[in-house]
Amino acid sequence: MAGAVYPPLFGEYVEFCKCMLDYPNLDKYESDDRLHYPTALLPSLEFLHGIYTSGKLKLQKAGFLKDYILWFSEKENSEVREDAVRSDRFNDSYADRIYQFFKSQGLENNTQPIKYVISELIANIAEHSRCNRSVFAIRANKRLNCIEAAFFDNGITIPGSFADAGIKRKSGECIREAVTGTSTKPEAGRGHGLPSTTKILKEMNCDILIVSGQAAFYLNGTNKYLEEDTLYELDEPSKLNGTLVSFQMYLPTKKVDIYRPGYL
Amino acid sequence: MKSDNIILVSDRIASDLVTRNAADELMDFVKANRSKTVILDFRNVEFASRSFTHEYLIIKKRLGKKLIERNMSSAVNKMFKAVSTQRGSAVPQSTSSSITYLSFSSKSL
Repeated sequence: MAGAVYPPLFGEYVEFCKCMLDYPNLDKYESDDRLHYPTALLPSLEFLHGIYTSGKLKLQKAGFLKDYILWFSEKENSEVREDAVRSDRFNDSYADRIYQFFKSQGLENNTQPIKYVISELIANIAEHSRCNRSVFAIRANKRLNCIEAAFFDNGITIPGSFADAGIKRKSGECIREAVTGTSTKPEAGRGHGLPSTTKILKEMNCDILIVSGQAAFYLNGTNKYLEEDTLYELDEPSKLNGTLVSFQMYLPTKKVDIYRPGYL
Repeated sequence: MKSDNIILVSDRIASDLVTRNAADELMDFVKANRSKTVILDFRNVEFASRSFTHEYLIIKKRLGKKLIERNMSSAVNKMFKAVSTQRGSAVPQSTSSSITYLSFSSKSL
């Protein structure tokens, strides 16, 4: 697959993989704008955090990660927050902050779908991931005329959640089934989150990437880069220790009524 | 005169009801209220998430008090109806129909 061209979201993940494999030369990535979009940035931050705390690599200064996050957040039309999701009321005010960013980009006509998507992605992390760290980033990409948002958690991953529930599948199949409606929670009424979220995002003119453990699922909502959804099985070195859900929302978005019968 | 058994949800929680914890917290106010019938006033609530609504309906069923919801916006009302209908029902299929399967190797980088 040398020289392969990937759709932008998966291409960003590939850039993160390159960063991981080349971490002794980490310094150069600080000025490398390939990592400056949410889908590449968030797993990179987690990876760098792991490298830093393990002492495998001496970074130039102790505050490197904080500075990196601050640097990103100060870029125009960008926002990033650590510990975005915790199992308490903090999540409610945090969801509002994320929504306000979308609103600032002129998406008032899709208030309910955007709030729905944000709430579901936060709920997935809070209720399923068992993470001890989560990060959210969003950035307006003026070149592609889209908004890119990403949620990352360092939890047990979707395949890990399936394994815990006694469901044995390949990693890619776990993600595909989570998207089509298999829940690892036993209560009635579960399992609607990712299917409805991805359906709404697609209808709003979004491409979506879900990376979890050793698989990545690219959901094509725009036909800009691919004609079909694509499921990637990742090799061991390129796996993600956690789950990343990101999307590129191309402007203008189509107005979506999420409450129409049978839609949620 | 303001009745003691009316809880203004937006004042107690928020105008957007997002998490299961928010539902738990709201129900704590209901439980703490001495009346057997409690009125939840949803005026100024703009959005209720599926998680909030699902949790709300679960607790409501076990509560042992009569709950009356008032002044729900159209959006919040539709979410309550959607979640009530779906509890125990099949999950709607996503739009993912045709899938290409690929392997990604870091050796190609």
